[in-house]
Amino acid sequence: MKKFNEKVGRIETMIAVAMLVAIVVLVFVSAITRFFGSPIIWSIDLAQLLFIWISMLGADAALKKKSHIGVDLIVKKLPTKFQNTVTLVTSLLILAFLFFMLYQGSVLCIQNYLRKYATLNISYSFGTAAVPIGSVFMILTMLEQIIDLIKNWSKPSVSKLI
Amino acid sequence: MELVGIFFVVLILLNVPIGFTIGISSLAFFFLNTNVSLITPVQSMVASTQSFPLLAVPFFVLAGNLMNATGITSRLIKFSTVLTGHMRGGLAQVSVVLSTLMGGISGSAVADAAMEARILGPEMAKRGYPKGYAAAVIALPSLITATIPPGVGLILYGVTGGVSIGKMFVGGIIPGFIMMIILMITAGFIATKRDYPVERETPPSGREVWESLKESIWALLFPVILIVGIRFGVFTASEAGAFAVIYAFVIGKFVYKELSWQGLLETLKMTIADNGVILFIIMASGIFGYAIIYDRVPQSMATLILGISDNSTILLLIILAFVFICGMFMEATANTLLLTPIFLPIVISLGIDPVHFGIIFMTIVTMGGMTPPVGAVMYTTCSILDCPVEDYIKESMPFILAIVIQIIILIAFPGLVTFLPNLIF
Amino acid sequence: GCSQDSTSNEEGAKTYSLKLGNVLADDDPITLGMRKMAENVKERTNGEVVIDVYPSSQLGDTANVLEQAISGSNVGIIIDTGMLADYVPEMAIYTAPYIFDNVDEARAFIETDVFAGWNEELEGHNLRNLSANWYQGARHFLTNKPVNTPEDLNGVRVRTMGSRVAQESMTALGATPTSLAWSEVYSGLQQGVIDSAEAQLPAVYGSSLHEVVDYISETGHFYLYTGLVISERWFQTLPEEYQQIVIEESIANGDYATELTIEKEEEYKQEMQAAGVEFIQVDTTPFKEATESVYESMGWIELKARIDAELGR
Ligand code: NA
Ligand code: NA
Repeated sequence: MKKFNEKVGRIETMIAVAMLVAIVVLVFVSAITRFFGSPIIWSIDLAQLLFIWISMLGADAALKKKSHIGVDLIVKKLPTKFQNTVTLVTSLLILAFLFFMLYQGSVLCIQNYLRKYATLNISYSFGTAAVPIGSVFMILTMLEQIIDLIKNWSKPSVSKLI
Repeated sequence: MELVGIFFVVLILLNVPIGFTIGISSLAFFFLNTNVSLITPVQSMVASTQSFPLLAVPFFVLAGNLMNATGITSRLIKFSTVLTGHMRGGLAQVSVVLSTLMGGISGSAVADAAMEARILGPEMAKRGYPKGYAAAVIALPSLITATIPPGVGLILYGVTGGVSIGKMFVGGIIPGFIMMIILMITAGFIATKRDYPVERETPPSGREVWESLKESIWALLFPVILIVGIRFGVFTASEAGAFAVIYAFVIGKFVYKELSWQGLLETLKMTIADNGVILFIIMASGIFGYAIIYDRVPQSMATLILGISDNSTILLLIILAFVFICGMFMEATANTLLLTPIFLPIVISLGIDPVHFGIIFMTIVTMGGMTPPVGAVMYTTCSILDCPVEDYIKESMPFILAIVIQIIILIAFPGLVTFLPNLIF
Repeated sequence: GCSQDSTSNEEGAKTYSLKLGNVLADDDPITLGMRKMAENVKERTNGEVVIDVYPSSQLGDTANVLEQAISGSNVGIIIDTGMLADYVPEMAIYTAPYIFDNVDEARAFIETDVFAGWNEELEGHNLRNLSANWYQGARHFLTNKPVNTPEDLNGVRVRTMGSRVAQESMTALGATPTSLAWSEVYSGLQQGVIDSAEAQLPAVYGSSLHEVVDYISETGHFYLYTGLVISERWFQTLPEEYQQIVIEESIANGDYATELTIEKEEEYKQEMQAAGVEFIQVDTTPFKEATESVYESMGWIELKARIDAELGR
């Protein structure tokens, strides 16, 4: 699981980084060309399409680093066993949420395949797909973290802000 | 909707990350309301990212990260230390002034706070500022971006309420500077009371300032170049972030020569994760926003409030208090779109100038991002500084009080807002 | 889930709830027409069909609400008929330049067989086009130098809609089409990021764009005759009698909103003139001629002929 996730994570990061660079260059270049009288009409649509992707892939990157912020005020004061039970339950809840996003996101992509990004003339599902696919990556990450949690049941799970 | 509220409180207390808390608790609404298709939560997530001005968030986060990796930040800090080192809480003052400068560029409180948290956070930690104070002094001043033109919020209010955007822009200038002064006084007062160490005993000499200025000139030109670019129509406020990134890259790579390709890659990776945290919260808030709008929660609450009094001042105060409460739970854009059409007609019938109301309204709506339990600016800053939210909440109180005082001043003296627009238009 | 589409009202009778959105202002003539429709429907169905109106994109932008309707949510949206082209490609011709000359012609067209055929196709996509007679105005050019002929548009960067036909129309007129978020058009015009925008008067006034331009050339190149589209699945849950009432009231109040818009167009024009904007009454003939090529490049020659025949022109 860990090895597989690491490989997937590396590819994911490279794609996200490439997309971020693409957005910056795209917006920069399109402003310049517009200033000189020949705007790139599809730049906004493409930037927005890439934006949802870097956001979902970024959400997974943050999940891997445990940098999504929460309020650990109460949980960190609990004894280790309770703490880990809470973490396990909430992790399973997050997992359920991600499966919901995966399923409904796929439904949305298929059902509304005809909707288009007007200036790109491609299906809007290319943007929407970021939610179900991003959810798959986050599911993999959560599974690994849940396995880790069970393996290290005697250690406290709230080490820092999750 | 009550169930959503209960879920929210329970999940947040169980340390579920805020984005997931908002998303999961909002789903309760969709499962209970059989009229609404279950694809809607996914659609709302996507829709909340499909806003071009929101691209300012990753752009300015990346620009901030790049400025750190390129040596621009260290020079900027050095310069500001020369200038403010003899003052108590010098870096806190830098944060306020920087937000005033940035207001004219990013027009986004989240983007501003995210960038400054990246730039100033580590330096504040080095100087021993408590994390809560550092977070508060970075998050709250980003509110200045709400009134200093050309803020996206001002445009949104103008469009929704049919108020002249030009007047809104000009009307925000004086309140923006008043806010800067009030926040500087507050930050300085706390620093003095707690006796945060000064870094030097005497104010700098002219020669010292000049030497330091020369060294940091490229960093100082950064906001100037962006403002000039916007004013000359090269790029829009939303696009300015992309120029900020390119500028920071060029200076770091070719002028200061401190940026390696490996460093650039690391910076990009860090930005992806930072942006992921912020946008996931914004996306989840989109789900919540849909539920609350569909159920007409703000409208029914407004009806309730307006039954309370006939007195126009009391009514205005009640409306503003209501807006403040909405801001605690909801994202600024949604609040602007929802509450403007409800309250603006009432406010106008009370004889209040729509520009005057607009500046106060946008200040309160934007402050929603800085107040618990839901606030993108708050969570962004805390996550970047690795600061416990409860510490931030405690330390932000004096600053929120300062803003409340500012709002009372603006209510008492409408001329502070309306003088410039009436002069120009 | 959307298996159940009804709840009960206070008297215990079955009620049907419909949420209608638009991306217009709270006091826009279209919004007023929708509110009146809601009132009338409520009255005629004894409070059993309850319609709520959500202006200012509250339910989401147009394409999003359309998606919700397709998925079976109890929602509907005022939509530029041309935007339905994703589902019925021929409907794109609705945003073609100078497709209609006036409101009467546009009103006559929605009664034709061609239009009925399109609506039938839409139903296959789970969409019900209740009424297509909600006029939002004709789109004109906003500029800072006078535009009298297409030649005056040469090299001018115009912010326009994203559709291919909108872009080709601008190119055919010699202008340079540019995309920009609507919220940035004001500052874009003010700071010279763009030279021009094209929009209908209620939108121009609503966004205060007259503050940042000197001229409005009344070209009327696009005709915004919009429709009210709702979820077919929701519609089918209604008893037939109520279906009829909803259709009738949406058509009646589309006409009402159209009248209001026409009145308002004149009112806005006067207010903007008073604010110092010069309105240029152009001869539209050269503009029409210049955009004829668009019908060819879009492959609409035959379709246009069919529409002309239906309208007897
Ligand atoms: Na700041
Ligand atoms: Na808040």
